[in-house]
Amino acid sequence: MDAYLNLNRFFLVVKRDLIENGRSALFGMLTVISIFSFILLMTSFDTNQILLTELGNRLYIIEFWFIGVFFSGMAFRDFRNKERSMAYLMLPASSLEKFLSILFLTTIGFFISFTLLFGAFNLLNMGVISSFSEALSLELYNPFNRDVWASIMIFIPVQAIFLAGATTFKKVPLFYTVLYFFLFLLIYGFLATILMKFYTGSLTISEFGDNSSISFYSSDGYMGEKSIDKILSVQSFLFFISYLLAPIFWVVAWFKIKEKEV
Amino acid sequence: MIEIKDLTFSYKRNSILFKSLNLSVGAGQIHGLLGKNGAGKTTLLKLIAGLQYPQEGEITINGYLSKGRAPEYLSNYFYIAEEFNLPSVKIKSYLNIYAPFYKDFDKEAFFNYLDEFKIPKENKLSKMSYGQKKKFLLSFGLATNCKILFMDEPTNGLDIPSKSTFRKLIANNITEDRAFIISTHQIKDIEGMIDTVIIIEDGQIMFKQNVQDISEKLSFKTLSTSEVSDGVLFSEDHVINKRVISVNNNKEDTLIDIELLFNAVVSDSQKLTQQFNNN
Repeated sequence: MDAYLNLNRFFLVVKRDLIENGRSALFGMLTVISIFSFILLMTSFDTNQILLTELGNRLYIIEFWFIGVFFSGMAFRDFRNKERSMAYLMLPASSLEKFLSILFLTTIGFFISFTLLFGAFNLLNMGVISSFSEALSLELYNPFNRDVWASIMIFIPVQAIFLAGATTFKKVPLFYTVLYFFLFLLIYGFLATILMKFYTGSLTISEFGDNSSISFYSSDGYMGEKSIDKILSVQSFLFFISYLLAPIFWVVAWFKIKEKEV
Repeated sequence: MIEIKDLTFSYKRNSILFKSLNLSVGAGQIHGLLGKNGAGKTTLLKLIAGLQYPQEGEITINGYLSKGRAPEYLSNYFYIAEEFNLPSVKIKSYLNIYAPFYKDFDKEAFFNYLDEFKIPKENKLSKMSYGQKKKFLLSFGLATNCKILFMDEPTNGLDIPSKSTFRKLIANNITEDRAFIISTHQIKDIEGMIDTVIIIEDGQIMFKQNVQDISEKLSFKTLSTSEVSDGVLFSEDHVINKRVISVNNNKEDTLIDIELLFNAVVSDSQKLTQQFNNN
């Protein structure tokens, strides 16, 4: 087991990745957050507290996705340079430790560092805005709300897909992953629609009936009612598939790394 | 220490670089790996280091399969490539990141080697010249106290004083349980330093002999054209004279001319190897 995963070695690899890439990652995050913060600052002088909090939420989600997808899509850059890949391969740690380090930094590490940076910038913004408006009070941004969590839950499988893309495409992985990602979404959407039609007989949910059914209409008129339980079971299945995507694509990324090592 | 058995390797399907190559490398010695351009010196080092996988055969170092690249195995060797990449960090940061991976790393020795090479300790690696980076890597590699140190063209980019520092450090650091393998074209830089001469040609180990045996069996001289007799194994023009290798019947103590030896092996290896097989 020690040959595959040793916690001491794992944290040494994390430290290496952090020191070697931390500065550029921090600079990238600061750039994006500052640009959005400036936009927020310029557009928020006439706003109220509720709108400001809502705007903060939206910005958090947009920036989180934008930077998170970029970091994951550009991960494993060692493999895009011959000399760097040699240094990566010769590092005395197992392939699993090296992979887990990147996975950790592009998920948990990214979430923590981004949230702290965003929180700091948001506090600064709020300070400036509230100094111009007596109606606004200084509040620390709280990312632990429903919208943000829902967004992060969707981000996880997307992150896995972009990480797999970073290990698959040697040149401009971000571009190719975006391309294939949209193709994948099209196929996924198509299959989900087919599944929904198979179960419900319609593509559009038009109105709710009583508590246990939904009425369906097609272009020819009323098609009847379907049990809510049946629809929920379809949705649960789709939900399950979505969350299975993350581990599947992490495993794909891991195998791609192993393949590259050979 | 290093055992290569029936190694077959090719980059392209129809052009085999190594075919059933066998080699055994022992500890406590400095091995000079020589060969023409494209003979496969770097590839052989990469195969031993586990950076390339053999198509057939196997390579083991102290019982570890090289292609397995187990962390324990990786922490037992250090490979100084001809072309390398160093992160954009200061020397102390590099030390902080990488030294803990090598359990026998000697920080004090590392800074001593840097002093010997006259490398300022506060330098940022990305701001250093190619030669300085190489000296830094040599210092780091030696300080790891790894059992095997692979060096691919280690003297490329080194200035003249650094080359002698390099020779001194290598000679001072070889111990009974370590092996240094130096692959180079700059034969003069390693002359008098290596213990074993290994010559690769046509995908095979053409010649592998201990320096002591070479000295005993062969004599290396520079003679005038008229002095060259029939007993000469190999000769080569040298300005107005000839450099010759002959059988060391008189047990003379001559300095090995590795360049001449290499040319002799490449032109007719059988003639030379016969001398070693005779006894």
